[in-house]
Amino acid sequence: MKFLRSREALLLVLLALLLTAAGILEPRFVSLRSQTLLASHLWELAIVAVPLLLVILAGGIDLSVGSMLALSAVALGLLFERGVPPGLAAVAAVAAGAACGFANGWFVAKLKVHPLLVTLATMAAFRGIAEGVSLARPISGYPDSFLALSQGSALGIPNPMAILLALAGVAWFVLARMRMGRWIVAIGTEERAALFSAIPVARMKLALYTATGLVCGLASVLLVARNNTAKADMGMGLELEAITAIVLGGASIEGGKGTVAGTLLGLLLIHETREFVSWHWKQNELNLIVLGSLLILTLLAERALSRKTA
Amino acid sequence: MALIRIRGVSKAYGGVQALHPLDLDLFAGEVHAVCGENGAGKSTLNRFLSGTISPDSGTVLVDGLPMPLGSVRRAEAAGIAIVHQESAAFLELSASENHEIMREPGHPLWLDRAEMDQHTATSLAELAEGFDPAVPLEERSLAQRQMVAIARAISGGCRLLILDEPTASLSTREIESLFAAIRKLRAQGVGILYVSHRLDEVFALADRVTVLRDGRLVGTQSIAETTPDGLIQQMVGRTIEASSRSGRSFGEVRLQVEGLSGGAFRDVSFSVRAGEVVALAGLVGAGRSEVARAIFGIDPRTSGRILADGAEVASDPQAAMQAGIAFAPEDRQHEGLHLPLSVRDNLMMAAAPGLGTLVGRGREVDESARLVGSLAIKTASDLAPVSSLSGGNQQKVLLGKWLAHDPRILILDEPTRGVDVGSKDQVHRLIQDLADRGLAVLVISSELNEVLTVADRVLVMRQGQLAGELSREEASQEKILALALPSEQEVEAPVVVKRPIRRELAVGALLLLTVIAATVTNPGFASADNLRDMLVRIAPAVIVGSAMTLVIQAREIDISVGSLMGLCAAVLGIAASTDRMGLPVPVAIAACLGVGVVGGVLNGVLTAYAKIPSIIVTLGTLSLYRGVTEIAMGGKWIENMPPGLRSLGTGNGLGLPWVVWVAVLFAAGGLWVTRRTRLGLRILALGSNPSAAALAGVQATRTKLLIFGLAGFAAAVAALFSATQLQVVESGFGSGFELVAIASVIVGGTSIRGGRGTMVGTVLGAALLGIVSTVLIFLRLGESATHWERAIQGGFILAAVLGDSLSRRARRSA
Repeated sequence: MKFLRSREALLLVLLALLLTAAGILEPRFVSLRSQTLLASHLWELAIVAVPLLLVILAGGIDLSVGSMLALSAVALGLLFERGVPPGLAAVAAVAAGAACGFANGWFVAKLKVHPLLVTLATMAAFRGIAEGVSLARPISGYPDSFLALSQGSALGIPNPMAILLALAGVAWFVLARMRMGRWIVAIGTEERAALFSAIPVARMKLALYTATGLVCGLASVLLVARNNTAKADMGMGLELEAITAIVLGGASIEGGKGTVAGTLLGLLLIHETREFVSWHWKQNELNLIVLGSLLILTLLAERALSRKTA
Repeated sequence: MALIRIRGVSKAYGGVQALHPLDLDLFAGEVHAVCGENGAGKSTLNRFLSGTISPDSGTVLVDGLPMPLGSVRRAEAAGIAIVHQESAAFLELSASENHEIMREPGHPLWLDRAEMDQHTATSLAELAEGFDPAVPLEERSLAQRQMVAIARAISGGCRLLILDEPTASLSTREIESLFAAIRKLRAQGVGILYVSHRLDEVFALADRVTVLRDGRLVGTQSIAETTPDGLIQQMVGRTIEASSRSGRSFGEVRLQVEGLSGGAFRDVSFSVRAGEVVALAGLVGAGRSEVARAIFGIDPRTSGRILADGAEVASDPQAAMQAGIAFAPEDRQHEGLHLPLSVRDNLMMAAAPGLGTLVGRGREVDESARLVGSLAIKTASDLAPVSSLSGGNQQKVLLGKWLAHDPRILILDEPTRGVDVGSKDQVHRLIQDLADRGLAVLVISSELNEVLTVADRVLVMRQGQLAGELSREEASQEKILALALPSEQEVEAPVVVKRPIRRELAVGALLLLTVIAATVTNPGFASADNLRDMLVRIAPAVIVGSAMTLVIQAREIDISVGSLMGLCAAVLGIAASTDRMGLPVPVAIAACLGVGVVGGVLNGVLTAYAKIPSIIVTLGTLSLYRGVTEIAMGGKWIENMPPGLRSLGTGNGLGLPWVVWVAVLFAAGGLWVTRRTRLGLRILALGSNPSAAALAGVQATRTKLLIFGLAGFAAAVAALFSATQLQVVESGFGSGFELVAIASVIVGGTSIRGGRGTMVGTVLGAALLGIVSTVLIFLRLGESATHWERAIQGGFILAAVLGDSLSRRARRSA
């Protein structure tokens, strides 16, 4: 009974409604073949959303995820261009992402600057550096062995999906079973009380932002391998999609509340909405309107519901 | 006839009845004292009289007429003024701004600052000497802030003045001036409701006294008919028994504090032995909690050592916890507990690492159940949220959280605040049991009864220093107060704050240096043409930045301005272009400005009414406005603007392009709003301290709606001139401009935390940003300079933030 009133149940209903409507309007959209093809658009976004959920649970925010992804991708491309083996370049890209995340975390945790301001600035700075060093040109021509990272599969599960499931599993375990998960929620619920409980607040924040950067680096490798190109405008608007999915999944933007399952369902709903809009109206710009409205409407609905129960 | 009649007023919070239906009459020209322990219902009574809460039932009659409840402004209009217990000050604002807010003299559109200072000086002169009304309150002591609050309440010409523990942080001399002022008001026929648990004050001042206990009225009597002992008995509900804790022997020294100094205290040394309960007494603001926080490593210490069982403890909460120190802070809601989380989560929050890193299993569940049982915590289940528990049970959870860690040293700050009388006894007994088990306990308490009940030894702090020590046998209320109250000779040391270099000067100097360096390396830089180009470049940033300054001063942000500029430009182009609708120029301009205002107001409505954080709102509308723009433009650029529009962008007036004059207008307007209007003052108050602004009656929703609307209007104006100057609207017009505007504001010294910032700073910030971009082009980065532009803007914000943080640190250590 409790499940029926949960956010997860609501999202499942919405998803079913959307797919039914889509099935009536565009029967080919809901075919397994189309869905499998379209699914590849989801992975990088979903992978980035997992650590971002933890940041938001801890009362923070990271607007720079798309830019960190772009900077990592450009780092990979430039290194590859200079003859570094793609595998090594990929490791460097992940390291670059982690370094960006560490910079965010340092400003937030050590200098105690509002994460919004920090990541708004680094959103511009990281993207700007990516544009500056690459002069905004695409870098392509990777070997097939590298492309297989994203395009291959094991046991019928595409590699990026396996990575997503592994990350989501880790996040779930941390939140449900580890003391660290309780700390994250505690920091997001009431940061001062967490400090007075001798929780290493600064270290936790540094770790969370760094992890987010690292995962953005990982996602950049997958994205470059999928598109066979690295470019500074990659991941534009990713932060909006990820935050929308997380909020849609029932997480509170003020921190302290949210689940991995909710976020995954939120991602799925956003993904299907986005793909259906593009499929049916053939206009990608429409998705900007849909996503922006979805974010605001979800929060409005949440406010209205919480007022009713309060 | 009674001035104010309270009839059947009651209030419940959650399941707790804070105030049972109460009848009370207050008369003009009398001082009516209200006494009671913490949680007796005194604050609740104050809050509905002053309009900050509305009661569940009952009425208040003023001069026999019912007063509308639940509105600060209505209460003020009825002549009720209040001085809150916690200082509700706007620290970034000056004494006169704090004193005059919401009753500013002069015209709404022209703040008479000279008269504000004059008012404040006159009204403060009765209470304190040598007070410069122009100095921000953050540079004043707690007592001086309190004096400003009291002066404000008195000067309003009130008929009922409510003073809630007004002397908690005042020195003897200040208390005397306050009493003189109160007596004078009484002679003038003002009714005074005086809340205090300092009985000496009650007997010195009051005509009648009302005692509350557990939210119920115990009785009202004339002061001549009662005695201090009688009052205490009424407050507590029984006579206080002398505890049996005398002649006990203690173990070895557990906690040793040597020469500890920090922000609010200096050279504090003492020790606590195993099995001993030491109380730290003193006035609010004497530095007691600060000492406790420094011992636990929350606040930094400037010198001194802390030893736990002989081993030195580093200044860090984790180190303190590992050394066996536990600390239950005073503020349960925000520091002690995580109210929305479960009892078990809270109990296990600081548990010893021995319980494993995995949660929700075996030993942890057992340990949680054991603590709930042994502390007799009344809860349906240990999975219920702590917020559903009563104050006393919450306090037990807070204690249990630390007992789970098996500490050797326990520090308790106000352990019975907000706890009902019955549970108070339980908490006191628990403290003694813990001491008997060999813990060293340090208790901070403002309640002298509590100090005398639990302590084996009493340390008294005064103005940041240990004033003396009393053994259990020596200690009495009078002796503790004698040590705690600052004497007349002890002139309050003024708070010395090294003022930072003004941001405007720093940015201005940097600007000048950049210009000089650029001119020296390339004389073409200083040519009239180039200067003119730069002005045109900077103008839109000044236009949007001036509105953004107001938004950020109010502790909000708008990251949708760039997208909104794109939308406004598209609307302008579509309406006016001969390729599209070809409407008359004035219609097109009106549509452009209208769309800007609507977009801004939408942001404002979602932020102010729906209470969604503005960053999220504008993140959503950023995408929304951009999407609408792209679809409206249909993937094609808009060209062929009519000549009438083109002249707006390319035409000149008095030798400069129109856009420059408009930017000057916006900057001047912004300067006027921030410095000379009520709106500007209230914006700063909202950003400085939102809850205090609400207490003062500042209308947050309306103000926010207005400033977001202004931001939208400014975006439209900037779009109007940029589009007509370029004579083409491309897709992506305005994208990223929010960053330019925000960077200008932040670089100019406006704090992202609100409450602080100047329009001059924003203009200089915008100029610096614009000139650096131009210089880069002159450095022959050429084409690639545009690729680096975004990195530079982001870098500027980070540099400003870094500079702020470093200068704050330098000030603190100075």
